[in-house]
Amino acid sequence: MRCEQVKQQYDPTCDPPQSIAEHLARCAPCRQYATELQRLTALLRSEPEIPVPADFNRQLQRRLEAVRTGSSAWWRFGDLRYALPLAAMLVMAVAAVIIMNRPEPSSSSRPGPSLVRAPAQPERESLEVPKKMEVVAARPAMPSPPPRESGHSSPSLREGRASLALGEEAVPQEPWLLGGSENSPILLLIREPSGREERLVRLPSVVVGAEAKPATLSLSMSEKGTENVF
Amino acid sequence: MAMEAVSCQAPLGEVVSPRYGALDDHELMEATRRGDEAAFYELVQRYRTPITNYLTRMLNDYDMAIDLAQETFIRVFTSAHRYRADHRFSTYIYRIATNLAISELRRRKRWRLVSLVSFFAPPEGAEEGAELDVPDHRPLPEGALIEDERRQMVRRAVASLPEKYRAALILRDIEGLEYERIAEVLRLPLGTVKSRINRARRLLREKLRAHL
Repeated sequence: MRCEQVKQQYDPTCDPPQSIAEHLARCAPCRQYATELQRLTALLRSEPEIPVPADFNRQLQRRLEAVRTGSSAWWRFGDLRYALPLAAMLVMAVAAVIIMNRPEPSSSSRPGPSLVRAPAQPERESLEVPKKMEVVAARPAMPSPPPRESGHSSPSLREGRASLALGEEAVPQEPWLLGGSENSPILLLIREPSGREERLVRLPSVVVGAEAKPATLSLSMSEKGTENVF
Repeated sequence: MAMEAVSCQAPLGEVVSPRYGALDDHELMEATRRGDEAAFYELVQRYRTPITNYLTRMLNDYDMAIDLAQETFIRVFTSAHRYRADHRFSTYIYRIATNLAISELRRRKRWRLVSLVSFFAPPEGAEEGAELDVPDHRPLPEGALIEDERRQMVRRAVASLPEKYRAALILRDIEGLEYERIAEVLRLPLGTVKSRINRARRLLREKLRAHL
């Protein structure tokens, strides 16, 4: 029997079989190994008993009561390994449902033109190329609104956009302008940069999409002038 | 086993009727299944110390060992209706405790992977969990101090073993279970159990050579 076999099979807690005993009798290193394992086992067996707390049963009884009454059902279903991911998934699912069902913001709460009335149109039509716009009417510019406190003393495109946004100012209450709006769902009042002329433009229905992007519209007007808006 | 005095004021958990002392573990489990809590607490009385010792040496964390020992008994109680007397009760309860201990050790490993505290973890070879510190307020003479130091070293060495070796070694060399029962507890073939225990002893011998 070889030394490695002896080391693999020697058990200090049992009497060694004859073959191992014979090997140990003639092999000093293996005998030393066996002695050390015997000491190790004795050391482990002599480990003192670890006492339990005096209130062990009392604590256990409290926990059992909690289990019975169901107050610890959350923990019985598993620990936080399962509870936290489950809670996170629930939160994400609720958030997704809320976001998907969120209603479109009403036009009154938006700073864009309020005169738009979007008729029900087939969705396919909105993908078509916009038709050419038609100038319904033109007239000399209305008197400029009084200067704002913010320091805008002269009429400007920014002022014009502001007046469009207000709605009442964008659609002057005059019959010669309102008459043309019967055929067109959208009318846009444009004031020239010079402030000398105003034009009322009928937008094709497909341009209704622009209504949802007032920022783009205002940027075009303020940076490029009214000629480049469309 | 010392029975505690019966007192009308003591809660049920502290009281075990002497008549249960004559029953074996299977009979006590049968009574527990029928809802007899006194029978259950007799089982607690019999096994709370060995289970706590086993868990303490597995985890090297006394408080957690107490917590898991109680959890072990809760599981015994709540699953009493599923208990089958085809093995020894001690095998059954050690198996529950082993599963809880291994789950706890794996949970610690996972947390250690993601925890910044790992930067300050003890060097390789150090034990998991907190230092085992069972309170003992007796004054220690010099010889006892040396002995206490040696025991701490043994506990640290045992706790540093890989968990698959650790459970088998503790059950055999500290708790004194037979190989066959260890194989039942760990659900391993007998040869694998013997091999693991042999490997654990060789590792421990290397770690504790200075004390052998």
